Amino acid sequence: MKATLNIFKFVFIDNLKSIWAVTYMLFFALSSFGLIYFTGSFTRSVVSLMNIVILIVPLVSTMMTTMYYYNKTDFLHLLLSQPVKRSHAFLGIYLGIAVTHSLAVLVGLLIGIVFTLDQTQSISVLISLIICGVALSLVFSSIAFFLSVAISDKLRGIGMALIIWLLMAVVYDGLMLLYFVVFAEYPIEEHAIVLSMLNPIDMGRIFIMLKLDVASLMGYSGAVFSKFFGSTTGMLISAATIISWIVLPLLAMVWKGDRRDF
Amino acid sequence: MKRLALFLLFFCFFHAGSCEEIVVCPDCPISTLASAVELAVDGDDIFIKEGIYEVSELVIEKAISIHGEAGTILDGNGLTILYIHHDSVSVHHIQLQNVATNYVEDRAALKCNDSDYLSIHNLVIRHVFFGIMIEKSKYGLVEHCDIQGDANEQNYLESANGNAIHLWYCEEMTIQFNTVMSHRDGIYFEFVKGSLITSNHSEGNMRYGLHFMFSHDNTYVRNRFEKNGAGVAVMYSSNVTMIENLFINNWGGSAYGLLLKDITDSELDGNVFKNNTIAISADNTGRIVMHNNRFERNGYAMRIMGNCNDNVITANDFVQNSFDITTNARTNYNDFNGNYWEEYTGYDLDRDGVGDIPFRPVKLFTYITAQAPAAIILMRSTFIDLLNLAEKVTPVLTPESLIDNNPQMQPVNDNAELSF
Repeated sequence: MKATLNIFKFVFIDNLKSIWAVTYMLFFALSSFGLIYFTGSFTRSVVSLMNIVILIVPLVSTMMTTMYYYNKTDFLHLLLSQPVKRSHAFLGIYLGIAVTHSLAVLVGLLIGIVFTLDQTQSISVLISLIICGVALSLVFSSIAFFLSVAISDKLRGIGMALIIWLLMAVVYDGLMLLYFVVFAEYPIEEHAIVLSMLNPIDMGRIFIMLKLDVASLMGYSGAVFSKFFGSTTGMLISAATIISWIVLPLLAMVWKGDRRDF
Repeated sequence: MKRLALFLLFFCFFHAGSCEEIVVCPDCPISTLASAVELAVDGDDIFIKEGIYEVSELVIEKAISIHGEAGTILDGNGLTILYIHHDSVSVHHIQLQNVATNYVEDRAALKCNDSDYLSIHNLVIRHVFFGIMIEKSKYGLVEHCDIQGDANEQNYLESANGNAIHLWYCEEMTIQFNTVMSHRDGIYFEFVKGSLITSNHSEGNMRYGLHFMFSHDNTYVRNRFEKNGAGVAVMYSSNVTMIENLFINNWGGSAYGLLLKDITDSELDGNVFKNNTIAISADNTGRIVMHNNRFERNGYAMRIMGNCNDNVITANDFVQNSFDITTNARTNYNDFNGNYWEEYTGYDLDRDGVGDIPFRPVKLFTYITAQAPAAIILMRSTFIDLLNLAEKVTPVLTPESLIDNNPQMQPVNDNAELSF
């Protein structure tokens, strides 16, 4: 475990030194500050921020994780030749990357929010925005790291990660919509809940949306959704799914990493 | 000289009219309201001193005035308290209470029938089935009454609660400065004509804050309708004028700020709709002019059905609503023009304050959710945004003619802080 911690520290500091982590953080600081300060309408700026968080965070997390991995294969090979358990080494690298990304999102959004506190109408929406950003960073770093470990070819790995992002961010919602329209005659509210929980990006979106658009959700379907996601059980199940979205790819990664011939 | 003036003043005071004041108090020679009413002749004034009096089904068929002081309470003991059946009766400064729910007859604190020139003011009414019920009367006045019922979470049956102010077949009435709370309907009108309803506060009623049917030529000004179960419903009426009313916090599965059903030739001017699930729902309404209203933070600002036509929606502000306009039709016979839409993303090159490209307030997504309600869970998703954008460029499913050709770049009205 001590090895994991050391590797984590090394990767973390290595990441911090790179210009990308700082740029990423500055991007969030500037966009959150700029949107809240200049848009004038709080709800509108939160909606724009939410779109940034649920689109950009997964994309950037995925790309930066795969890039980092493939650019550091030599370092990884050297590391694996040392008397360190493979799973410990991989976990250390993952933590190093994931913590950098989440910190960048967290600090960036915090800076933007703190400087515009006087315009804030609801601090809880902003907090959920931050939680959402951090969770999505962890989830997508985890998925991307699994893909990188599983696929040795750099180009294929990055391509695959991009495809996964596109599927989750855009295509999945389209398929869901198709399902809703085709089966509109049936009571499919429960299906809708289960389907949306399978996609972490949708979960993040619903998490924030419930705080923003409660009125329009007051129809029958809306009532079912807000009742579920508003209840303690719903919260716990949502949290559990998000955590499993982080843990399951990691387990798969450890399993794959133990068996792969580097 | 001064004494003479004083003397003259007193002289005038006591002998000016032929009216006589009959005083009722627990220890007076006349200790019940019933005996006072029996003694009184037209034009007399009955003054009820402080105390609790049990009065049930007392019929008043004389043009008299009944008033009390602070602490004068008429207790109905479950039955209708006063039954007025004469012109020019006045009741004021009294507390009326305890009229029980009854499923056979409509019991009310004050029930008036065929009574023109009524003057009812400064009453406090508590724990009653119906509050003030006026039938077949003209030229009456109800003002400064405070009516609070017992409707709440435990007592939520619509049939177990009556209306606070209930008018039936009346004409030229004035209802103003009243507070009506926790009843079935706050103010209920049926077949009421040419009346003026101003500055009332209707809150927490289980059905509608204001409800009227078949009531033409009425004017509603500066009323506040708040947290009513289903908001305000106006049906089957024409020539309705609603000015500077406030519709706020009407939330719930079937809550509307304002439900317009079969309304024609009416005007909505300068109203504010805030935090309602659906601010205005228009069904089969025609020739309505809606201008200078503000729609802020509603779920749907306006739901306009396909059977509405020739309505003019102009110079309104649509701010921070989840959806601005939703409709169930692919055609549109209403005129949207010169409104301010916060969602508008166009530009104004010539700087005349009017956007250079038209705005389509109906989004494809509202159409989809009308067909498949479960799809609401996809709200604000990237995919939906892409769909909306595609639909905006080439409308296929949303009404092509529902378009604002002169979207304003800045809010039009300054009634954002309207409150009273």
